[in-house]
Amino acid sequence: MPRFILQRLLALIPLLLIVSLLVFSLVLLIPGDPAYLLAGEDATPEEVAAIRTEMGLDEPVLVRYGKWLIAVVQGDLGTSLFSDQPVLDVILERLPVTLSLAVAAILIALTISIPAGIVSGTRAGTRIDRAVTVGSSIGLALPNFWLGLMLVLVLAIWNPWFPATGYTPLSESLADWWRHILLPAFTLGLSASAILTRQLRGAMIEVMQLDYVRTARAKGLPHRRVVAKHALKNAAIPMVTILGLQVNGLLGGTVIVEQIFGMPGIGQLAVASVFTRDLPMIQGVVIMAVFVAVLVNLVVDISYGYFNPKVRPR
Amino acid sequence: MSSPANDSQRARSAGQRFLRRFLQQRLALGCLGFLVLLTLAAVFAPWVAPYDPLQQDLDRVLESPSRDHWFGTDELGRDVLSRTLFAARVSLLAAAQAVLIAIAIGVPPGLVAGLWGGRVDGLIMRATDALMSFPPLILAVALIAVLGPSLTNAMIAIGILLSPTFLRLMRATTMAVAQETYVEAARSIGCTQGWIIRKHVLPNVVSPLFVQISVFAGVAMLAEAGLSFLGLGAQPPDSSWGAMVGRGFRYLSLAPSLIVFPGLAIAITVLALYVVGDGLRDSLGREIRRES
Repeated sequence: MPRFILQRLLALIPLLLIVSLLVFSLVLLIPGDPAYLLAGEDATPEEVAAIRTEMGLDEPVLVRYGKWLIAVVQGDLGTSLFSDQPVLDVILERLPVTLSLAVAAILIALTISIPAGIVSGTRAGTRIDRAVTVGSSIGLALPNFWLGLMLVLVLAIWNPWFPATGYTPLSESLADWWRHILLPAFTLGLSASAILTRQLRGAMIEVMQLDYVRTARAKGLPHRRVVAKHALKNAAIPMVTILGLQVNGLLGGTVIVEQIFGMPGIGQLAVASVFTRDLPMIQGVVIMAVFVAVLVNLVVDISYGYFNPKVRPR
Repeated sequence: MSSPANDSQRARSAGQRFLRRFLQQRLALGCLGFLVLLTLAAVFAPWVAPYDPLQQDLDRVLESPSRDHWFGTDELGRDVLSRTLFAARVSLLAAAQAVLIAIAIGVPPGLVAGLWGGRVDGLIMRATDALMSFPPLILAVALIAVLGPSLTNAMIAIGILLSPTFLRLMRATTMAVAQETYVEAARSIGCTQGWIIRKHVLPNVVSPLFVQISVFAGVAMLAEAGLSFLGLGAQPPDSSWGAMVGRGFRYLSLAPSLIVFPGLAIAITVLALYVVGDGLRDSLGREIRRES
């Protein structure tokens, strides 16, 4: 097992190097002279020159990349062009909001998809199965921002049961946190729950036809026990992988959901930074988001190896 | 071994069989019909729409749906139904644009990776993995930040995001074809690489690619709607469905119809694209299974 973990960690190095190259290259994509753009429209030539020196734009590209990479590895993501604060500080302050939103969304997705997947997978072809399948198709097609706005309209404006915007940290009050996060988390988690439901349904149908399930049934175990103890255990393994793949989508979705519900997370920060043209901040957000996504997928990979010894190397 | 019925089926071209199977799927066919109607309505919007989408009527702002204005009016008294019809042009075109960009970026390297294998393949796949490790919308936002907010730039960003899927699909099918005996035979009698690609590889990889297009048009449409909602996609005076929802956001409690209708338009169109995509895949799936 330690060798397996080490192997996965080593495989991350080239991946992260390419990612860093892509993120760095964002500056190169700016049409024209980035210093002019970043300085703003009414900047004096001196200000432009200062930015050029500060960002090292007069040095060769490879040197700049090297210096930038070394700084990033040491945790120095640069300074915000908008607020002059260190990028890392701003991001770390907002990261818990985004992470708790994503975790709550995953919890909601699992709460919906596990029962739905089991019910439709064990009753394939029935009316309830068709209802779940249609429901999951709709869940995939609904634009999440629209769903969020409808939820705000119905559950926060027409019936003021939930707050429409804002965020309370988990450390302050669990009840308030939950009230604030429920609608955004549902908005964010619905499409993931649709994908997970489809996956679990397919896996359940397959597993229920296997010999060992037939044996369990033949020896007279009640249906509930056969499903919960025997079938679900095997059907759930691929779900772990799919969940890992969903994490990227969820982190991306926070960009929209945080905007609708006025949550001060890194998704909202990313959008705001586009309008203030705060490139170091955007680069920082992208790096942090990829870092979190890669980390989660690493954990998924390792837990997959733990649950399923077949994929471990010898 | 084959029965007479099977033989007569085999006598028809693969394309005809594909079409026949697709025509049997009523739901997919219905959705395709809807998409065709929608496209026609978008193309002929100036004739179909009841009002000029830019004509303001400041005496009748933020109205609920009525006989005169089926979808209500917006904050400047413009007819929401007409605006939704005109926005369909932008949304449909944008989705098509993103898919074409994704194919243009993804297909050639996928072909190369699948055919050449080895180190080139390893390099291309590493880059693809890296691209796929970005949370999609965050990368799109970052790309728009450097390129500047506009619909074309948003579609370039979405095209880049979708390209790895086309690349992987292309690589996998190309690899499978390249290992076939007839390709080896062609190579052994001295056919050039270009000839093999044209005559053997491309005809075989086009169909799996084709069936993905519909589903990815749906994904692209959702992504465009999201970016336009944030104000990073379609810019005024152009309006897509997502941009309409974004503008209506401010009047959420006053005039919900401003966001309900364009939102429904997105959801129904994307659903139709997915169902058509599933239908195409199912029609082709059996084809491949039978032939192999």
